Amino acid sequence: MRGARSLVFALTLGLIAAACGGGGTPTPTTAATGAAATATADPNAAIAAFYSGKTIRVIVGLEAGGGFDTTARLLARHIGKYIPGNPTLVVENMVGAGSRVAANWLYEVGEKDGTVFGVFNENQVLQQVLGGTDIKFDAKKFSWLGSTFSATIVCIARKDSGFAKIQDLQGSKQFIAGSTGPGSNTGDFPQVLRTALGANIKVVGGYNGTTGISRAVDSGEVNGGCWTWESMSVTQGQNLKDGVMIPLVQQGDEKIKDLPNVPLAEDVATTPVNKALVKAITAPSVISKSFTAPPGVPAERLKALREAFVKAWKDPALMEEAKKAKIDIAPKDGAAVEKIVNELLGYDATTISALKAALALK
Amino acid sequence: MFEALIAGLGQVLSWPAIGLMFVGIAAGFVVGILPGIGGATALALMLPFTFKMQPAEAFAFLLGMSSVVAMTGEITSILFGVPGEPVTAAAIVDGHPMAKQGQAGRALGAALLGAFIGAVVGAVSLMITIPIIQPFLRSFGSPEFLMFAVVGIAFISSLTGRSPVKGFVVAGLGLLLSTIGQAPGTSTLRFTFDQLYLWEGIHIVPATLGLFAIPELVDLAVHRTSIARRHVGALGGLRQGFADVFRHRWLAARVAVLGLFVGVAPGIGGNGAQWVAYGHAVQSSSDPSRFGHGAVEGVIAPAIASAAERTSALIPTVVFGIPGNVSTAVLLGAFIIQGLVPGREMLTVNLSVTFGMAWTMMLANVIAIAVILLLARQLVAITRIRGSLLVPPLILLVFLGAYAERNTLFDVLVALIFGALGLVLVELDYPRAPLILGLVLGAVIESYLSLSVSRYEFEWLLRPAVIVMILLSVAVALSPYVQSWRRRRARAVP
Repeated sequence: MRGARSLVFALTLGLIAAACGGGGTPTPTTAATGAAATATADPNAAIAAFYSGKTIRVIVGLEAGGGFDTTARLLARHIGKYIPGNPTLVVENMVGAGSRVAANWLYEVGEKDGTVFGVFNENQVLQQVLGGTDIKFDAKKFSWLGSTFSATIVCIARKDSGFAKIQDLQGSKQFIAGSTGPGSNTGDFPQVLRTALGANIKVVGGYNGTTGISRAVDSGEVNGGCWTWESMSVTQGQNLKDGVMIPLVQQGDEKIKDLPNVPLAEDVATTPVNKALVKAITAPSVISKSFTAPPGVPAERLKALREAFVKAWKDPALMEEAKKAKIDIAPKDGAAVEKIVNELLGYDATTISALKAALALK
Repeated sequence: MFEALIAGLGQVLSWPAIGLMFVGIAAGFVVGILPGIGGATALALMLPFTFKMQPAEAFAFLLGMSSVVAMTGEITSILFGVPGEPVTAAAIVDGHPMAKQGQAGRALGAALLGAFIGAVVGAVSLMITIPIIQPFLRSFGSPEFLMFAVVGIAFISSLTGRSPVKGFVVAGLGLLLSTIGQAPGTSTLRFTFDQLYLWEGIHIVPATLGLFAIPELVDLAVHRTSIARRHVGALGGLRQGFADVFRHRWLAARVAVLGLFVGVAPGIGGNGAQWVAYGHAVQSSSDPSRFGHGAVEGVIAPAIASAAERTSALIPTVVFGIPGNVSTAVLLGAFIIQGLVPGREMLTVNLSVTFGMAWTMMLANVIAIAVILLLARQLVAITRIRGSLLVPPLILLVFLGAYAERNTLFDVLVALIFGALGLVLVELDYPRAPLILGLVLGAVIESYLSLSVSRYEFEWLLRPAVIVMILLSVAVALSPYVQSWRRRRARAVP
């Protein structure tokens, strides 16, 4: 009886301690004011005083265990030591709406003091261009920290489905592509290929992530699908090696090293508008896994975060872990991402309306 | 094959793998007892620690942890009526009434041995089926997965107690609530009222915590007694609980198979498996009226099914790299970190690693049971503590648990709303379980239905497996009516 009572008591105490600890208790006030007093002399000291003892929340717009999540967790483990004051970083998954929930949240709700940043599917920026519903952010105003990778999208087909090259898709036989839904690479890219390459594709949407599409491809429910090479080379690597799956077409900054004979979609497209369509729909891929803080982060703190972002991706320990976790790195800094976002949002009306028509958007 | 089996055991028992397994088990113990934070979250948080480990060590650590989480979650569910894990919520329905009757030890014994059997069945079938499962799984598509969930929801008719109508009303409410958020496939928003939080729908952790825990805590506070209203026996009947499992061995066998199927089919998960197993226990009982008032079968069936689900969810992960539930989705990350490619290599060159996983899950369960047995006396004694001392820390645990999974105050609000709903349901004598089953399976059914229709239009209804399962679900839904008709006739005849 007494043992049990003390067990409950200890449990409660432990929980209260855990709850307080998780919230990022500030350092004793005397120390904080002391640091603030010297802040005027050295801007770095002011930033350090601000971040010291604080917790930065890293919001991931996609589910735990996926590519976005592992990348964010990798960054969160190492960037802390490059931010003045060495804050603690905590990763939170905020899943929903192909990460539009997280993008809206970062724009509207997330604290604008530099204690929150996050990552969502870069396709959300394209959705803003296309006038997607319930987009509550303006990507131009985000405080971009930088991107992680330049992704290439590859479409594959089951060998037994009878599609062996991109030209086979342009015939009368319909190619059924699995997808997670509209507004993602897996849905929008094959959708655009219908117009841009005259491909006969039916897109079936609603699969749970690329592992769900992979399942449907494996069981023969769909003929194939299109998603990023970094994920495909893991989930379908063995099948591609065995020749069970055949890559048909790719699109990105440049061809994948392992796929020199698979054509770029923009080279297959014939007219300038069609080439533009293919490039526009894949434009976000070059700023793959872009991290951003909410708009209006104080300039000196944003500068510190951007510098930390660049340094973190060069950290030897991070690179070692990335190699082990098979995370490909080709980072761009905040300014470069900002430039690409502004270009994307500045497309001319002809391209945008052609793109909307291709995606069957009103 | 046999060599790999032994080599796998050797890897798990060698240092430092065995030590890391103990560390994992200790972590899993704490996570399991505390409500809210689930096994999947704990796994995601622990993943970085495995970077420097060898594959056998990493999986001993991770699987050691995830194996015991649900087992210790049963303790919280049974003793306090607070779901330790969402997958142990079903243990409350009959396990907590048993604790109130002074039979906490018996309920714990039944749940622990049940969870152990489920894990062993799952691990053994992982060992046996791995070489032959590939073509079997390949023959299933979205229409079949849809029908798995439909058969599951047909069990609602058995979860409804004396009045099936009340049960269907509650299940309907659960299905309606599951439509909140984004439509699968089209990304259309429904019933979100401009609230970002609602885009993702009602989250299962705070809903389960509120629905089950809050009415129990109110009951405890109002009655001003300890949890156990009657005298508790010396060791609280642990041994009797073990014996109960053997007494109901055929039920145990059936729900173990059920758990295996749910684990292999992506989507339904342990949350659904426990309730379907519970429904089956009610359905196959000769006296369904005992359920909800401390029927030991109601503790055994869900414990076995969810443990079997947990282990067998590893099968599609290992064979295809397609996770069967959220925890295995995180484990898939561990595969990639270890440089292991799910698929053929796991069945050939890395077969010993695959077998090592199965061994770890079995060993971890044995160790967890042993530790819980050592602590059983203290644990059961908690049910004799005055309620006024227990209610405050338990309320703290419930709200912390609701908050912890996603760190949003909205989840605390959801727990409160579902708590109020739970109180109303209990007061009006409506069952609570169908609400959760409707909420869990509604989302699964809708997403596979949209895929099936968009891929096959209406031809999916003509697939042989689908037709068989449609008939099965009709039979399951009607069986309580048939049984009560038979009983009435049997009484009328003499």
